[in-house]
Amino acid sequence: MKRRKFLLLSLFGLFISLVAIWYYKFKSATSRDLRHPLDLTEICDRTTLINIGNTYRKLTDENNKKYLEELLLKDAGMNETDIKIRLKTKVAEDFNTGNTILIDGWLISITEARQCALLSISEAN
Amino acid sequence: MHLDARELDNNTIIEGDLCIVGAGAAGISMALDWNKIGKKVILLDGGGFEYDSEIQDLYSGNSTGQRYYPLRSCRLHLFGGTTGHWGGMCAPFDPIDFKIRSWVPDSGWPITLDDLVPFYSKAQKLFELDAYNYGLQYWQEKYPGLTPFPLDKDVIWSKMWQFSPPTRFGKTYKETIVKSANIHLYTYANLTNIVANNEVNGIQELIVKNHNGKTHKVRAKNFVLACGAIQNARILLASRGQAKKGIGNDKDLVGRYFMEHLEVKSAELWLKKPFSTELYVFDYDTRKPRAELALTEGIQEETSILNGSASLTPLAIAKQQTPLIDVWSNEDPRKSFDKLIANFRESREKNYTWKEENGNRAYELFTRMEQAPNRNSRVMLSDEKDALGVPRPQLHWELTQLDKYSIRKMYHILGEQMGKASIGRIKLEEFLWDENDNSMPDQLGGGWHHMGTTRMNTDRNKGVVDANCKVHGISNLFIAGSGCFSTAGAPNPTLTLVALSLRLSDYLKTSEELTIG
Repeated sequence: MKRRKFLLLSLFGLFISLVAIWYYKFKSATSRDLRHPLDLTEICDRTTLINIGNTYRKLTDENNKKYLEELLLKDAGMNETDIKIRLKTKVAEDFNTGNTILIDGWLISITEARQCALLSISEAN
Repeated sequence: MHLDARELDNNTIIEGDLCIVGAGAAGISMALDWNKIGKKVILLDGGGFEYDSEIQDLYSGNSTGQRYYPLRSCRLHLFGGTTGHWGGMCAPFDPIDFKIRSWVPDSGWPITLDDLVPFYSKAQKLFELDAYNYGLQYWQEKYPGLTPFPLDKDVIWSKMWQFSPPTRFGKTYKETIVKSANIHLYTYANLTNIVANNEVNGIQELIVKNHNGKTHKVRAKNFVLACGAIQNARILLASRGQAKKGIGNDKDLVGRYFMEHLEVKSAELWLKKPFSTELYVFDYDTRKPRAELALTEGIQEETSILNGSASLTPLAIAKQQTPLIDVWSNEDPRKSFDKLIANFRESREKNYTWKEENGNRAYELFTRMEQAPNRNSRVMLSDEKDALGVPRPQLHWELTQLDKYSIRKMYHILGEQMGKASIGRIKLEEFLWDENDNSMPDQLGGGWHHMGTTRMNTDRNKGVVDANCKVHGISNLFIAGSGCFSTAGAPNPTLTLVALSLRLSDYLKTSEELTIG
């Protein structure tokens, strides 16, 4: 019995550890994706992105990490690829619908602006 | 035939069938059109074949309002006119430029693009251009590397330009004019007064003078003023012998609606990946046609903006360039021109690396946009007189809210389209950031394009000339050139002003035939 209990507890522990590792990795990947606007990262350097984020936070009341993550994750999938695709689609939708904003002269999508805002918060922390 | 008016006996009376005042692009084009047709054409020019500082000084004047180039050096005062230093950029107006647009006050011409097409074709030859074809597809067949950005065709189109060598009319057509049996060119014959009959419904004669103290009279059946939009307005306003407010100015329209092109660095285009921009970037060596990014008629209407386009210059080069309004600051046009050329040359020489193998990633976007017609933007007379006793011009260049709004909106649309196509992003210049700021920056310059001071309209209450460029109410006085433009269009005006002058020429020839018949 003791041996069986030990095995069960070990398996349970392993499961919990795997879940924790998966969650940590997912969260970390998600967090990275959320604060890195794909197209814009290819165009602007990190400092410019942070500056855009700072200005966006001053212009709007979207100055909270959790709130920004909620806005960006709305309707997003649960895996890394889904999130990347979803954010890319959101950016495209923004440009299609005119959901854009002028920040420090850059005409960018609102989604990109929020991503920059998240980056600037993480940088500040 | 050439005669120097300084060598004639004082008070000589010069007579002919048609008198054209001004031997620039418009005047020479018209004169050439009358070559060998059995009519005596008098072609007057205030200057000679070479630059003369004393003659150039007759163009001096002051300006107020939006910062502008020195009037003295804006135009060249010699045979050939400003073609002596122009850049050669040619493109026709778009169909929308001629239409009445509800969102553009005082827009609409009494003619359409189709009315000008036959004359555009003729004008192409005078400028030594290729065929009258400005379609992208036509040029892609000749230059397969011309690839447009993959943008929404309902929003953005490629406005094609052709480049004249550039043809210097004063050199290229001098021999033809001088050797012509029926064209009588008089140099150093400055128009100082237009004499009308007592009813002010016909012109009797012109008074011409020069610095040698000679005064002559010119009589003809028809008179054409082809001195440029500022000088045409100036001489009409200054001729007050019979008409208290000036010739053709009983409705207070002469000199009003002065227009320029709004030319200013407005944004940067940053591409995600290098893209071949052979279609868009000017090639100094080959001067092959290129395109500018332009907004479609539908989008202009939908967003209520003016017609305009954006040209691309690699940012590495553009950043080295001084704004044109700062470069062209000398009263001597030769010095300003030299500075302009040096500005372009040095910016390229300082950047040997700008031509990246697979194309550049960053570009300057430079605006070329029509100015909205504005009654308060105008040429008036100064209290000061020139050496020949003619009041100097006083320019008040005034822009409107629509001008600023249109530039800002154009770049918002371009930015959205670049994002939508996932090509890149646009960064607007600071003067465009604040939507409530309607002022224009001091770096904005015109294109040295003077338009609209004798605008065309069938209604004499709204225009100085009719659809045939005849001054309303005066049977034998016509205006040639960009002063007749009702709206400015986006492209440089030279090709269009010559086409319009050739159309006037055709009308006058037909009228002559009708009179004889």
